[in-house]
Amino acid sequence: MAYRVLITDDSPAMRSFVRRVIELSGFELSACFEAGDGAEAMDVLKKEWVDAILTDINMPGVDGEELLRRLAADELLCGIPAIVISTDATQNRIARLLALGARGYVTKPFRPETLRAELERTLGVPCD
Amino acid sequence: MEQIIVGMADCKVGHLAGQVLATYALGSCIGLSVYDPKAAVGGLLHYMLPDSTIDPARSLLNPYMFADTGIPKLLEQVCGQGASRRRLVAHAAGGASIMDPQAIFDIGKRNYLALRKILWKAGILLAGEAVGGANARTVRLEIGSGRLWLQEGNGQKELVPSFPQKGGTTWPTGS
Amino acid sequence: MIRAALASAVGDVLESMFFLDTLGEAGEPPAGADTVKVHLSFEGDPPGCFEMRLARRAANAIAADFLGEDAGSLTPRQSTDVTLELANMICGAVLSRIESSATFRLGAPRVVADSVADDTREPLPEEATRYTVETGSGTLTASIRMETRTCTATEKYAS
Repeated sequence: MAYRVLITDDSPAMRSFVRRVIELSGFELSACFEAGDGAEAMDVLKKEWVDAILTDINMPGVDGEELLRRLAADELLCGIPAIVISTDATQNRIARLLALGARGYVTKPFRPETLRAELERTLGVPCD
Repeated sequence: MEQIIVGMADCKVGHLAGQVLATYALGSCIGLSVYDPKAAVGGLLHYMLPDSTIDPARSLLNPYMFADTGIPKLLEQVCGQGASRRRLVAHAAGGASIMDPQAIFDIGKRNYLALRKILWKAGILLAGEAVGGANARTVRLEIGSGRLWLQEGNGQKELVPSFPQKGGTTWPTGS
Repeated sequence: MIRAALASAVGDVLESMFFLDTLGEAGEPPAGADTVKVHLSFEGDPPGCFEMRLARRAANAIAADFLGEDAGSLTPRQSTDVTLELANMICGAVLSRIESSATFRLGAPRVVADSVADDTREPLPEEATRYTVETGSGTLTASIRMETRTCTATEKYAS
């Protein structure tokens, strides 16, 4: 199966890193969209369907937490699994984002294999 | 079964069903196993040090001593036998602190980080690993099935069960 | 405690995502060294600011490792982007270690000095906590300063 994903992070370097991890994890990508903040992400989602969203939290403009709120409030978009990738490893934040509907949470810094495992868990693909 | 021993600073590739690649006494060294389940080709490298720039002349004589020269050679050789880099399933064992329990010299850790950096640049993620600690390890790779066995201390375990045989229709993620 | 968190965060970030084993704590580079300096502010309890000073040669090597590319093929923009993200991650990792029950918010990191000639900004004051490591291609110095609230007279005499 080929996947369509959206990577949202204000750092172009981190977007490249995440994209590389997805590709090296064995997921075939038919489309990989990128956004610099939550507002750009919502613009992409108005036009394109994706199978998964990977999002940072601390971004200027519309941040990741607000993006999750907007996704949860949309009856079509609320079904898309979202994985948070963030420097914030505090329990408060993690709990709040999971309550907002995030299906997975990866704390920066992370090993590529950790993100792969989270992708496989979230997309329902068995790990090796 | 034809057992092919991979010594220290050594590398072997197998492409026949009856072959088993084995390497022993992985202390601070790293044993890197790669296997293509579709081509049924695999290789095993046992390297000792992370960086050949400390002794370039030695790396010309024996590239398998170092991570930065040995790993590319391993990949080149397995692909030369019909493996596809995209399908390679990689496992690592070793990187322990045997004679350096407080890890003052940290060779094991440096070997491990060198491995991860080189594999990342080569476009390969590790599927599994047994690294660190203070125990020596032994690794065996069965070419016909892709089974990977790890021996550590008094115990032995199967790190990777058989892959489906050639002609099967289901492949693990990453193949 | 802050210094231990800083050291742990630097090591963790460099190992996990940059595959770098630091060669131990080092002395800070001299004033004229060719370094890139990044600054970011953060809100939290308490708020503060973070700076990272990275030898340019190390910045290029680290960026190449992070992106899985050869150092020679990187653009200056790519190198800068990775350096900014490195600062972001180290700062976030430090704050997660010391503000485990609070919520913090990182500002956008920015390069404040890209050459010796540009480096006119005052460094973080002496009370900032600093930690320098040798990366193998040059040093990285991370500094963090947490703002302390001034105790008001009412609070002081209420206890």
